[in-house]
Formats: sequence, C-alpha cells, structure tokens
Amino acid sequence: MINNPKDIEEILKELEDITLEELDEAIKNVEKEYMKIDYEYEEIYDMRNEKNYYLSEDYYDFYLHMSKTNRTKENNEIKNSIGVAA
Amino acid sequence: MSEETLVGYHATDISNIESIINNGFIESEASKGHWLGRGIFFFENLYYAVEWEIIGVIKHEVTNYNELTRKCGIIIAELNTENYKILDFSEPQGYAIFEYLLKIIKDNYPEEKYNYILSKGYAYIIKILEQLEIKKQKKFLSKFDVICAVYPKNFTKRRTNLPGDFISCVQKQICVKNPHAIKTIEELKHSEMTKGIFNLIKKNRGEKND
Repeated sequence: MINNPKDIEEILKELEDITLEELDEAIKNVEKEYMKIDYEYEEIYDMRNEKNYYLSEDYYDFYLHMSKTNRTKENNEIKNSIGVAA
Repeated sequence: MSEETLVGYHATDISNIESIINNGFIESEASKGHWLGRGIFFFENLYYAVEWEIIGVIKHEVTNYNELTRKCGIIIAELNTENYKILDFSEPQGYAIFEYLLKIIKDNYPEEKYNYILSKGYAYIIKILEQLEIKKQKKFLSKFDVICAVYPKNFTKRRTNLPGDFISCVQKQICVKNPHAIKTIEELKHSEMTKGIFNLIKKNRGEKND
C-alpha cells in the first residue's frame, strides 16, 4: 500500500519522542556524512575536470552511489551498473 | 477503491536487459552517498530514465546519438503495491513526515540553518531519519519496501560542458529496497513513443554532439 495512514501515523508518533539533543546529534552526523560526500564530490570533479568534463550537481548526486564504493572497478563495471542499484 | 499501481522505468545498456529479465537486478555495494539510500532505482517518467542513462554514456565519450539510442535498453517494472509497504514523499501523507521534522528544525534552529537544510531537500531529511533510526533503534524508513520522492532540483549548477540541461519538471524516483516488491519486469521495446523521447533528449542534450 502506498502511504498507509497507519504507518505514517506510527512514524509521526514515534518522532514525537525524539528529543532536541537526539535531533541535534542526528543533524551533526548527517553533516559529517555530507562533508565526506563533498570531499569525494571534489575528487570526482577533479577526475572529470582532467578529462575536461564538468558534470552537473544533479549528476554528481546520482553518480555518487555507484562511484564511491567501486571506483577502482569503474572502467569495467560502471557502464553496466549505471542506475542499476545503489 | 481502485487498485493502486506504481510503474517505474529503468534504462541501462541494452546488453544488460536479458540478464535483468532473467535474473533480476543486481545490487551493487550500498553507499551512504545516494540520496534515497541503497536500492534499485526507477523513474516514474520514462524521459528521465532514458536521459540519466544517456548522460552516463556521454561521460564515456560516446557522443553519437544514433549509437546511444541503439545501446539504450529500457526496463518497465510494475511494483506490488498490494502486499508491500511504499512510502511516497511526493504525496501529502508522506510529505507530512518531512513537514514535521522541518517544523521542529524551524522552531529550534537559527534561520540560516533551517534554510540550509531546506535547500538540501528530501535527501537531508531522509538522512536525518536514518540517523534517528540508528539512535532510537526504531524503524522509520526501514519499515518500507519502496521509497519514492521527487528529485530535488539544483537551480544553481556548476558550469557544464555537457550540452543542455534537465527539463525542469517533476522528476520522481522510486527506490526499491526490497526486490520482492517488484511484481513484474519486462523490456520496453523501442517504439514511436521511445523514439519521440530520444529525439527530445537529443534536441535538449545532444545537438552539439553530432
């Protein structure tokens, strides 16, 4: 079922129990992750830049999921994995 | 009540189609970086599915659009909405979760921080929910087999030497976390409809490549 009201209500109810401290910690962890992504962003950007490619941020976001973990296999596998799975 | 349906398109190299039809999708390593997390990705709209694939091929320096069209295979998948849980953030019921968290952030954080998070769109809030799941040992997103959301548009883009840009329309993506939620998959053969889409992408993206 799409957007089962019972599921949504459960989540909203459980979110009511989240304290500001927990939310703050979550946001800090997300920031750490974003910093890591931004770093790799630049790495890919530089890599592409050398090849005279400037990819849009949209493409970076989508590209990251397949490039981060299998970068060394990129040449062999990426053509076949584009968008297949994150 | 009429039965809900959810159909997604996935474009890939034509050589992958047979394997996907016979064996299903292969999940690669999970990455924290992707905006909807780990899963099999579909687009609700065929145009964007094809466009993403073509962009991916362009970066490998294949720039002949006839060749790109020939190499682009398309899978159409129907999801089982009856027996699996689907969270669609692009509908009001799903968006309520976003709105709830955004309100807490707005009420408790500086305006600058709130605007920053708002600018990051769904992706940021989804990641907050993932973190809260870990912290609270509760299932928020993980109780769902499929998550749908509209891709956040970046209006301030880096300069690009790829020709054209996305057509600014609703770009809804479907992330299938549980492959069993995929009811059927089949190849969408090239037709007048796909030809029209390729021509539109070519017009938007490829004229400089010919």
